[in-house]
Amino acid sequence: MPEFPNVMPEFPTVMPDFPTVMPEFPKALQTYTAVLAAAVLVATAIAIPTSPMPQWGTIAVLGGLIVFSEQRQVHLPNGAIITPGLMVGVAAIVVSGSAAVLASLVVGIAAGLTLRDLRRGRRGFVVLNAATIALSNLAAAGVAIPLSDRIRTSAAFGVVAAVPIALACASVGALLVAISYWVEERRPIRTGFAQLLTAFPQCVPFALLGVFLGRLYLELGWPVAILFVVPILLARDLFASYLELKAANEATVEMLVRALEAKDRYTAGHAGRVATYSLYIGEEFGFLPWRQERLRVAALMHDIGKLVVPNQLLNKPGKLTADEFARVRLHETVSVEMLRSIDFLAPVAPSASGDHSSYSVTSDRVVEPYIVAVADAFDAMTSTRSYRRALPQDVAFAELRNKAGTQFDPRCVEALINALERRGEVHGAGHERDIEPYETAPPVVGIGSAGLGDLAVEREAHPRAGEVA
Amino acid sequence: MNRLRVRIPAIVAAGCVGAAAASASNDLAVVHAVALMTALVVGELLVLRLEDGTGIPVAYAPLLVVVVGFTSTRVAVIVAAAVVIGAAVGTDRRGLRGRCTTSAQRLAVGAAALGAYQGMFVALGRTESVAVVLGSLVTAVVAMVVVEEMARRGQRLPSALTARGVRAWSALGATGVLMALGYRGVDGRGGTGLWSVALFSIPLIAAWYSFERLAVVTRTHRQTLQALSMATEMAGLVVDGHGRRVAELSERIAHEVGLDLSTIEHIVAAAHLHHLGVVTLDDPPAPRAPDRVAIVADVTAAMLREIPALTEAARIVDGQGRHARDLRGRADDRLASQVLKVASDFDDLAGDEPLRARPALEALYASPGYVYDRRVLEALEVALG
Repeated sequence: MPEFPNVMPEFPTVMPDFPTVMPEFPKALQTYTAVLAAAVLVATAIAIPTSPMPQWGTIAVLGGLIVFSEQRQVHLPNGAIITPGLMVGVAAIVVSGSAAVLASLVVGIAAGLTLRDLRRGRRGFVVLNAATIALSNLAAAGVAIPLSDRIRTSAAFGVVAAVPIALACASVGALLVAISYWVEERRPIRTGFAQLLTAFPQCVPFALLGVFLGRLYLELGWPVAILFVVPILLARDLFASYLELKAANEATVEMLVRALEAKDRYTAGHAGRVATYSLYIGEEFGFLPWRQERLRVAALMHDIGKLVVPNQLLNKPGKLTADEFARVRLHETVSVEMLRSIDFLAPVAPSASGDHSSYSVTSDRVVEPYIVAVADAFDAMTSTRSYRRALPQDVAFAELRNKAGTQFDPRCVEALINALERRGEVHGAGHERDIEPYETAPPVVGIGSAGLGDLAVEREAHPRAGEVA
Repeated sequence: MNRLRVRIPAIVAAGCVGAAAASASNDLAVVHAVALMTALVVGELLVLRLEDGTGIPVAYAPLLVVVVGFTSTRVAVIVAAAVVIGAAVGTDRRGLRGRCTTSAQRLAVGAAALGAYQGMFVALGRTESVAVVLGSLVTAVVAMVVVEEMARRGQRLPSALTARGVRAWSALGATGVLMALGYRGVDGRGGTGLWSVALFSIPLIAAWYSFERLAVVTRTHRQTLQALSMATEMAGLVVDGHGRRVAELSERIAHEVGLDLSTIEHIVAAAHLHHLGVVTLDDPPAPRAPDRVAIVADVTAAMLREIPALTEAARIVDGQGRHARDLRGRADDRLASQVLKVASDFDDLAGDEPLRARPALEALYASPGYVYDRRVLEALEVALG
């Protein structure tokens, strides 16, 4: 339930391509901030003599609540922010009735002024956010005041009225933020506004809840507000621990990948690149985010079983004995078994035989193992190993296409080639990034002893290799 | 979650049809009863999952609405019907017997809520005031918690009052009280009827969603750790089943010495991973080599230390490689390391052979006094039974 106007408090994180840590307040925004702050002050100065005074006790309870909840924002991975702020703001407006002008300004300023930015020393943003929230609350109050009598008497009317209230609040907020984007970096106001307003549907439930919280507060007093916020804050707390544990699990997988790469220096960065290529293919297939996420973890872990292969075997120069080869091949079984024992990854684990490097048309219900196989083979060919140098990209493409339909899923091969060509990326000989220094340079072509998953690919893909070596 | 995607819309649709049919009777109370029964059934399917995989149903929130909104007989009819339907459409995999037990438990909780609410309302003089209604509702929540705890104890389930359980009850209690207040109103004011149930279920569903995500990721994390411990075993670097047995045994010992739940969780993680470092060694020591434990603990701790979430586990593993005498740091950390060391050393000696348990225990007792903490050895003895 990302919420709209309070996306603004964490101003810089609204835009996905914006750095999360802003070093200081941009100069270009200073004048704009001053104008907004002046507008808030003028509105307050006009409202004090002309509009009725709200009940300050109520404003204190709701203001305290909004401050409390703004301190407990959750940052979603997609950059949106969850807080119950809008809801409490709308409640304050409904409770105050005809006095909502002052109430909305005060609550908005309270929310903006107590954000974490203050502690990070980004005072410019604090003022900007406080002014923006206060003005968008004011817009909500403008819509709510004429409706306030009927909101109080009819529940059904309250439900309907929540929509224009949320729309007023969201559109004024989006407009003010869009203008600030324009002021700062000349991004067109129209695109910024449209982008920000996509969050509007998510604001409506909050406004709706705010209307009802306000009504109940009027009738039954402050205990209602406390009861109301408990589940929301708990949901937020648990969601935060979910994100934390998810990150911990991610860190565990990454540690394993690092440990794996430390064992075999020629595969440095391999798992990460296979994950990247797999995601390229998944994107071509139009996978949803959750499916991409699962694909990424499965790709990162595709060789994880190598962890248990003794170091001497991994880096052994010369040929492996049959017994050693069997031990090395065990890693495929171990990798598959590990994926299968984790419920989240089990559906994308390759078949129990561990033979994920051959493609059969009959069993393509779950396409992920084939995606990883293509990504794995492509990276194996385009990076330098202990037994041969990297191949040029076009050779790798040709080999993938050559084996499409027998060893590789043709759709995955074409998807990868399309994705790389569209991005203009070139990998392979002359374009490697993570080159390990080696004592004796590997041959240009050849088959080595590190007979791991990619060896089968290598042997078949490069029949000439054996001859030359 | 997949199973719910079909069932919940189906139940809601059935509820709507039922309510429409009931509205023909021109009795608003019947329409409300059908709607609330639907809410109870849906709430039975949405469960707030706790650490141990058991859960508390969201239905306990609308239950309070039923309790304040109807006469005792009607409450009994509505709750009983909802419990039967809920058991029939539920996702409980424990079969008929399990479903019957759960149904009995729900009825007991419902009866407790009704009794406590009405008893308190009468005791407070049946006054229509926010304080009285609120107080009666809070009493009902407390009664529900108590009965639920008693029912769990009867089924030999662990207490639900864990970190997540307390949160679950707070969310359910607060929302239920709010729904009931909003539904009923006080002294004719503030009663918004079914609107209150519909609207205030939004934050509760958000809470359920968070619980569900957290439960899924908790399971994934545990399974990742288990998969790792399994990998070293499959490769023959560690004796089969060692990781799982040590995790189970150290959990029991840790309970016995009175460590808190979060430390126990770190010990279990450490137990699954305490041999992982063996994979980084060029020349791993043989399974019974004398200094193997110290060497492996050292490299494993170095690996785990890299991960912020596993620094506690790293510290425990690091201490596992040392004698009790050489441990430094906080008392709980030293104790945690000793728990893991005792469990792991015991399993090295006994494996999964019950006949070797006694001699293994005696061998640990016979070690020099500076190796093991006596309290932990005694806890091991109790844990073994």
